[in-house]
Amino acid sequence: MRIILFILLLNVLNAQGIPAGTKIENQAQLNYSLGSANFTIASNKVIDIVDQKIDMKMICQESTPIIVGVAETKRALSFRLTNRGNGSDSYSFLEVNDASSDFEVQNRELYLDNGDGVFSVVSDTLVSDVNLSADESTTLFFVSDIPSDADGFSSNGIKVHSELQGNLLYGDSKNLGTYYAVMTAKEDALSDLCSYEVSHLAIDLEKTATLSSDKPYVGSTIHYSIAVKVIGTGKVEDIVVEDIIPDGTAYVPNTLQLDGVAFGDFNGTAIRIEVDEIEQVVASSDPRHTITFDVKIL
Amino acid sequence: MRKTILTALFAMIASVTLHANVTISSLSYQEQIKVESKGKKVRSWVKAEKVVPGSIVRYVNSLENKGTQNASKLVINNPIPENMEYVADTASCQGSCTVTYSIDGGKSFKKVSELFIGEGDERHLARPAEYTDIRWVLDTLDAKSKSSVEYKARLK
Repeated sequence: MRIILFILLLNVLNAQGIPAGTKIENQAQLNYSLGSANFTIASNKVIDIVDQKIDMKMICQESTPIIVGVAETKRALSFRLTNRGNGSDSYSFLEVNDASSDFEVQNRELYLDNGDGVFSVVSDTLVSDVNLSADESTTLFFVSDIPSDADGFSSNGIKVHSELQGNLLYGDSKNLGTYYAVMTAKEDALSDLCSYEVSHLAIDLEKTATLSSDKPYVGSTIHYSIAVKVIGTGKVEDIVVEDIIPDGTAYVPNTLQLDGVAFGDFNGTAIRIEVDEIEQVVASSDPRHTITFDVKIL
Repeated sequence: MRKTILTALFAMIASVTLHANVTISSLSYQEQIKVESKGKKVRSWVKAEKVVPGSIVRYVNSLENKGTQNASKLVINNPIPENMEYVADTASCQGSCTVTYSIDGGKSFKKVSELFIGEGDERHLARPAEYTDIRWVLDTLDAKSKSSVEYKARLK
């Protein structure tokens, strides 16, 4: 007879919880009477040690498929890894893909985000493992090249494995000495997939922001840059780029530029620039135009 | 004077003798589920060992009157451990008892419907997670008999 032992756990909204190793003490007091005499005694003190919960979640951060062109290189899919346990852990990764994808990507790599949430070969780093404290999260990029004969969709992702987890399955535990480590992450939380979608011709806008101060104060300036890229090969015409100014900010007059030259209009709520046709003969992920403007925090 | 001293001494001895006859001991348990070969789940309470955030722990205070005299007016006060939250409607006792709760660290105890917390717009009926202590009151514990009180709490 095979017996599988589980620990019944309840989901909590607060993923972190009390740190592993914390002592939980329970002690009761009894008052009673024997005839006219009154007595008070205390129970023994029950001490339980909080164990370490091994719990992590990997999710795709792309809300829609990433549009890519054939033969493009180093296209990134963004993922978020969170340590939902109550202790530090170290994580390693495995690239995964959906076998039903229309095409297979090439030259897969994993990068660790430098904190700005935007993939850059220059500022992000190739990663093999990551250490996270309890309730800490980090962004990872699945990066790959798109084959020249790609078409349709390709779903790819990352599966995470915890050093503490070892060979533990959901509900299993192991003795760490002072306390146990308990595997509470279910299999479906350990990996996720994002998708590429091949477009033979499309416009891609990539927006970044730079703050003039170390923190967003009233009066600080945010400098926005929008890179206009063409995905695939061909000619794109009648391109109009509009961007609504964020709530709580005001457009700084005369800062709107196209490729470093004053251009376009601000209509009170959004900047608007009309770009001439762009023809791309060879697939490239380099920006064809750059739009910049500033806003001030109110 | 001598009679007074002797009386006091006798009372003290009697007190010491009676005091030792009623005991209270505390244990903690957590639920274990075993899935047997045919998929049947068997639930049981085992000594708490693997307590992780979100776990529910069952605390049981066992009473025993080993003496020859019935004990009366038994009041058991149990502060809810730090980092634990009381699970609603889990305080109970073997037999008959009255259960009340405190939200002020044991200074006062009231029924659930009388536990209000906060001021003004924030005043609300206290949530079980806001209880700080539990009190059980038993009228009697007969000589040579046992009873128990218990509650469940969740680790934050």
